[in-house]
Amino acid sequence: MPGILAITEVKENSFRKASFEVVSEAVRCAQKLGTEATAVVIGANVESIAKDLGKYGVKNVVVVDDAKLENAYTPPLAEAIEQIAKAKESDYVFFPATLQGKALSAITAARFQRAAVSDCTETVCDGGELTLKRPVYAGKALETVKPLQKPAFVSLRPNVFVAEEAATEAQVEKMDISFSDKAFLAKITDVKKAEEQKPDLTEAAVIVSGGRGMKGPENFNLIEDLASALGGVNGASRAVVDAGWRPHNEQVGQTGKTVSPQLYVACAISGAIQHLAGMRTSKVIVAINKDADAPIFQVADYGIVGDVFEVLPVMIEEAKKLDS
Amino acid sequence: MKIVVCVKQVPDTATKIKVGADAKTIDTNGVEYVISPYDELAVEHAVRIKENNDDVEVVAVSMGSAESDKILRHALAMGADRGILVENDGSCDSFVTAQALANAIKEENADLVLCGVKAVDDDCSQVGGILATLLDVPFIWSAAELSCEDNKVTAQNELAGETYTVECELPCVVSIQKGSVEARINSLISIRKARKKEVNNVAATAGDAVMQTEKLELPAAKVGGRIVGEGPEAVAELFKLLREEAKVL
Repeated sequence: MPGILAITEVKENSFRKASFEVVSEAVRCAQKLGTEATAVVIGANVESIAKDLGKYGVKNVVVVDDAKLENAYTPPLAEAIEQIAKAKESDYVFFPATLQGKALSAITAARFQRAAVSDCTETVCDGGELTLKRPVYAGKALETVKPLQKPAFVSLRPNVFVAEEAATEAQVEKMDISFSDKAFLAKITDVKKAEEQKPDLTEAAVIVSGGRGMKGPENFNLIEDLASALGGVNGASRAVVDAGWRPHNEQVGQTGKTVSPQLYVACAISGAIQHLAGMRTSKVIVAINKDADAPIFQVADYGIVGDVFEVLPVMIEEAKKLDS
Repeated sequence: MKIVVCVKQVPDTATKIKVGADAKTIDTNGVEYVISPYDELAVEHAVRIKENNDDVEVVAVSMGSAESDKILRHALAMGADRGILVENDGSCDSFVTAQALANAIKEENADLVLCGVKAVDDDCSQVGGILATLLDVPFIWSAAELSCEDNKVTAQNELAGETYTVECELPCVVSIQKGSVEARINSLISIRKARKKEVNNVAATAGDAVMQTEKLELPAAKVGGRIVGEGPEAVAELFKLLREEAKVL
């Protein structure tokens, strides 16, 4: 039956959070389209976790469990998805729009002479077909796109779609894939772990960012402390990254990362257009700024007008109380 | 060795986007175009590889209107040797773009193809991956660091606090993310030299569109945002609202 494939992403034998969102959204869309969703789990030693996806309402799970996939790079995954989509005659293939998911959707779609619709934030079922909404210009505008042929490939922005629990007994089907030698030409040769495991900004549920008003790199401990007390990660404005105060991978904005956390706290960030573009799809935005006229307050849900050096220490104390 | 770098012209990131009369594309009135920042980094990587190795040619390729000559000249001023403009007016989807670029690149027999991880206008992150598939070579995505030696590329990519090293023999396609490398600033002399470098215009050859834009709109303005208070005294109220009203804590 032509349906929707939901591609999951596995890391160290557990699913990345965005996987559940993709499975859940595939189940919802399949219901609206009168078809079925099938989750796909690909990796080495992943069979044992496949059944867990039933928790998100999916009845069918296809598993490709192959020792060759231990530390494999993207191409074999694309080959597997291609073969599964053909076998299942899928109409739609959903991916998490993580960096890997976007790359994987591009190379998989191209094997079908298609492009994937990247980083969607809304699916609309219309006359048995899907149209997709996605931010462009880093969120300064919103585009509605319709794929013209099937199968259509779609990646879904992390943190936007709800992972709805709906306990279901999932049927797990194992599939063997014949991989080409070519698929293993690019290899992961080393993985270095950071001392502290932090989610990527694009997947974090809480982000606390600091701007130029933090006055210097030495004051970013306030940003880090608040982020860690709220169980989140820290980000930075472009001005701060350009000044060399913070590493580039913390930059939020049009030329940095586009983020959609549940809670975004902007500290001493005035709100340049390119920063606002990168964070305006956050669910709840809090801004702390000395200048009551700062543009950041126009996108904030809650604002505090004040000096970050006075406000942040109190916020850190208040946030620490949340745990106890 | 030959490196092809794909570059795209995009509205400057400081542009305030307005929707055009067709409600599908932007109003281009008064828009300043620049080379997409990640593509500019890709050019920088290509030029550095050229500077560190003998006999490397760097070819910059752009698909777009005649106006894209400007960003090709920018790449040439940075050190690319020549340019190819794949002429096309109007916008087209990532697959059609990649197909037209692939057709132009096939003629070049490139060893390494570089592009930015995404163009900062449509934010698709698609062209590199499609290009690699159409050229039938491996795709390394989102490389923050890149080196090329002995017919092999080594790329580093940071993901959720982990640094992955990926190795691949040429030929391949690599998309470039921000890393330690910064794009050079063109001097007046290099800009003048770039004017004399060769840019070939070729017609775009590609198939039909695979997707269509139905609508372009501006995001709804935030309503109901409010100032909770001033200074540290407002913090308690803020946390109460985050807990009870916004329910995010």
